[in-house]
Amino acid sequence: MEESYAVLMKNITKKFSSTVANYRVDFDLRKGEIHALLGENGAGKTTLMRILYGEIQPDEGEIFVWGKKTVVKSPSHALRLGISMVHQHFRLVDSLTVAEHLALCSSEVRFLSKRKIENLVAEYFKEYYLKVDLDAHIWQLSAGEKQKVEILKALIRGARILVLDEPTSSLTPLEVKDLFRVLHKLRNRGYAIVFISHKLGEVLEISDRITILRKGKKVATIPASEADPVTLAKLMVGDLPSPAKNTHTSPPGGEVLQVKSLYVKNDRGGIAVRGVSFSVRKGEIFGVIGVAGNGQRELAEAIAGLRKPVKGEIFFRGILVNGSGPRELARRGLAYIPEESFKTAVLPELTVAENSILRYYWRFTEKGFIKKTLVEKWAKSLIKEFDILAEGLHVKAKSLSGGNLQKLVIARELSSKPELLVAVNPTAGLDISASQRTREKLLEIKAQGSGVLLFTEDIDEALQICDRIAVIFKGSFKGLFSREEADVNKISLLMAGVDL
Amino acid sequence: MIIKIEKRSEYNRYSALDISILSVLLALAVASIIMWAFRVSPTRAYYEIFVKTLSNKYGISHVVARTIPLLLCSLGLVVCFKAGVWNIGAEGQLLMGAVAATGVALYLMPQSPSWILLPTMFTLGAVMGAFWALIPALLKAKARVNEIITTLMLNYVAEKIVEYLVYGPWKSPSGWGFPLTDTIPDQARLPLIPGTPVHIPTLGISLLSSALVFLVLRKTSMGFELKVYGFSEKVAEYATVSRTKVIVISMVLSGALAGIAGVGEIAGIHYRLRLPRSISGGYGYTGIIVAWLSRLNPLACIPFSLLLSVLSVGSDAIQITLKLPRGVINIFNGLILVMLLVLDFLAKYRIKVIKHE
Repeated sequence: MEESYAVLMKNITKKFSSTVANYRVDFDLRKGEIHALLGENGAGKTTLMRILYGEIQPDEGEIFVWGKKTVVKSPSHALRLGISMVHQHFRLVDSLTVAEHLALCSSEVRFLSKRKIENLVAEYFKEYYLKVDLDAHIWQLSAGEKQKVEILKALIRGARILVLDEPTSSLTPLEVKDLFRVLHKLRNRGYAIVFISHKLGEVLEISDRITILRKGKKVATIPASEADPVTLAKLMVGDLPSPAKNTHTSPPGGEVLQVKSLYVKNDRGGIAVRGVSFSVRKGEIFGVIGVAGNGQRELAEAIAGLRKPVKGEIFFRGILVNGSGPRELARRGLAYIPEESFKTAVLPELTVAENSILRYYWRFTEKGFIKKTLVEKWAKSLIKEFDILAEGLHVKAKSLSGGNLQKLVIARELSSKPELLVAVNPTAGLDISASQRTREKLLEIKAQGSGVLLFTEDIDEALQICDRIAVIFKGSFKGLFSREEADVNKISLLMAGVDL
Repeated sequence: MIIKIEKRSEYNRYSALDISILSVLLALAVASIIMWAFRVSPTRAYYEIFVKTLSNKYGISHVVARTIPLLLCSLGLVVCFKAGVWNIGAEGQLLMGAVAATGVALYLMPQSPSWILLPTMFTLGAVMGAFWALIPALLKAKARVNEIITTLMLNYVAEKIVEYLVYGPWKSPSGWGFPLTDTIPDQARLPLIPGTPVHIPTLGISLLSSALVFLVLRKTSMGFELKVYGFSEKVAEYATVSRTKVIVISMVLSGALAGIAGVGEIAGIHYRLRLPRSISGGYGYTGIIVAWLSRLNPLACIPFSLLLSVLSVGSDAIQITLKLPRGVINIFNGLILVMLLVLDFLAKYRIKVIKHE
């Protein structure tokens, strides 16, 4: 076996009962390269890497690590082979400090000695721009810093092969730049890096080679220097859908939601929303744009009845609803897609059908009994209309990929015939076609007269479909634009906290 | 040398039922070591427990009689555990049901005919059991007080109440000072299968309850709410499930079933209130084991209740025939639960011993 290969995967096939996650996939990774794994949700990227990391076993195929044929039995075995995976959702303990986390990963630090840990990480801090405050607790860190901790953990454990699963999905643009700097440095020092993503721009920027997966099969492996966005998109999606356009021009109707100088606390008791006032009209998409953690979640939860406001008023369809519970609001026509809906709005242990009625089961209940035939009909229509990949109605939801779970939530909430839809980052983590599909559906319910309150971090998305856009920063609105007057530069400055 | 625990990559190699049965077998195996220590042959002991118990009418009828309260308690616990509400208080709820039944039969309406008296005893027994569960339920729902502690503590309170009654105001004047109440009148006694201690109405209620609990959990929106809340309080709130409703209903239902079990023990077995240990013998605690062995399936509670009452009756027998100490049944029960927990863990995780290279 040629020595420059860190990893060689041949003919990998993995089936999950009836779906084929990977079918005869070949993949190779050289020392000192960043190899991007590109594909839509459910294309089999993560499955392939979880096989390499020993989390799951392939049905067929061979793996060579450092030129030697290997069966990777478990993640700890993978770590011993020098393979480490940084998951999309960090696996850190909120209440521990950075130093404690790093001590746990090192076999040299038996007792928690700060000096020893400092010695241990000094090199990484200097050489790889990975500086993090060792005394900080995990919950105090930004997403970018958490990622650094994850990478440090991997390096301390002696990893030479790093797998990063969607590493940029929760980072701000600046943090992404930082991360890329780290990755370049690591590559130049001979580390082999797999970069899983569905974002074309990033992949083109960071990687040396790109392998594209589609529906579990490998489509191509090409050097990044020979690739361009259009070809990549075509390889990834097949045929590219045309982007949704907000063309519906009829004037919006009356106000479905009014919020008056609202104050809301966060989980730690601090004020997260400070005196926000706005209204959403029927047939309108009202966008709230901002960097994550500026009070979006708290505002959305207050409106959905899941968090009691400290001060201020919320009127829904003309009635004061400050003290109303989530059920009463749902009954009156409020649909809600929370942040990270694939884990906050579904239960993986329940079936697909059960999840399809999760927030509306009482609509399917007659004399206390849930009407099974109605539920099945409903679930089937959701799956069909939103292209959800599921093996059936009665399989557990955990057998679905994260993207498909998210689609299930979107389908459920959009199909509930809402008067008002509150959605927090509904397209985050979805691939191109599912994102487009979701935006089209949002425009569709708007055209049918629903009001939509869309929280998003994506400026392009806001400009593409919103009728009005407010910028949120540290819990306050920093400006309100109609779509015609919205300006990318102005909005990005306001998002960064610059007062104009 | 390092011991590492890691998640199995592919589990479900063993079904839940496999693990339940295996844990019973393992517990019996470990218990045989203990018997050896008492110089008793395990084969002889198990022969006595299983074959002897089940080969005569006396043994079988007692097994069935003990299955009744055990099944009722475990069914209620299944409902609670499904909702992630950790009710450890079936024992106390059963005792309070027994207190209510005795009170009705001796003091409230001793003259009434059977057809009024018995339904009243069952109703008030259920209400009393439910009330005893409602206290921790409200504390949990409104003030987030841990229900494991409160339900457990209320068991002791219930025991003390029973002791107070049988030593104090309810003590029979004709009982030579023993801690017993008067016997309840004939019309307060349940019909038995002739020649056995099996009280028919309670047997019917317990079997019917299995089916009802099964139906409620599988088919109703109430069952759906319990399940959703049991998996995640956060997601349940999002799904517009009322936390208070889930906690209160699951606890009240559980308490009522345990209370009914208490009524059965008074009106079917003892005909009087006596010391807590003589009335219950730990049905409320053994019910926890039954609920787990059945994997929270109400229908599976029937065979597992039977199994544990065979062990219970059988170990009563070997106390006498083999002169083993009284605690032997507790050893069985404890070992079964420990084995169940250990095997559950081993089915999901793998333990590795790594020697340093």
